[in-house]
Amino acid sequence: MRVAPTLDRSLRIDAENATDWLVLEMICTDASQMPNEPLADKLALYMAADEDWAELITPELADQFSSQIIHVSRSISTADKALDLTGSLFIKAEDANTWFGAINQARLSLEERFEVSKFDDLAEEEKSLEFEDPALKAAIIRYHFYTSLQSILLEYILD
Amino acid sequence: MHHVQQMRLESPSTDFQTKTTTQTTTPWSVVIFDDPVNLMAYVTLILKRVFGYNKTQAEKYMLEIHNAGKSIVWTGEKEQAEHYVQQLHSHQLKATIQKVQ
Repeated sequence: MRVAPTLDRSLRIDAENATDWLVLEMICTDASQMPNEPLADKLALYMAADEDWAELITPELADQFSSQIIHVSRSISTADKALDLTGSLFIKAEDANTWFGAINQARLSLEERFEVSKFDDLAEEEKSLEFEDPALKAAIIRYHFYTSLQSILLEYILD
Repeated sequence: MHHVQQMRLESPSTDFQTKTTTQTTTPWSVVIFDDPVNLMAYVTLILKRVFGYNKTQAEKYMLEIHNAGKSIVWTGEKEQAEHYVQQLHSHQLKATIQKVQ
């Protein structure tokens, strides 16, 4: 897979095979698998003292977060693909915030499920022991891929 | 923030007298908490967007969030503070309001 900014402030993602599309689809899968309560409910805990927050604000945020995932899922599924499953996906500037939000949900979900960020501080030998768990290894790889996508979005499109 | 409020108090007689009081509205702060997921550059960007801070101010708050675990990023009226927290939540940042002691 290749990811690069374009001259018109879009991000172009070139997928080279079925695996690449699967990795992109995992953004939505991971984002949808937020453990315990939904993200909007988790954030509402910070405003628990406000009686109206859960009733008025949380549903609105929940809709917003869901629509981010739906948008990304549709963009991936409707992207032009050749028979050999090569193809390109463009994230336009006006959609960059939506993509960033969905990817962020995916990273938040992975962090909550696997505590991915703690591996940044581990020594190499400790990492190799932990990496024997294939689900964890895959989660860490996806987390770093999502982080890279976000960094490119931030550097070339959002900021 | 001061609001001047005029109150009419009925006197024992049938006359009215006017008393002017000055009421102070308690300010509220917006607090953002650190988390291991949101990128530092993203937190800086959101501080610029939501509060209109310049890059230097936004980075100062971002580093305080990162190093101290939280930062008071704004203080003022409660309603506006709640509005800011709503915006911060919509960007998936952990934030709350607290009354200034």
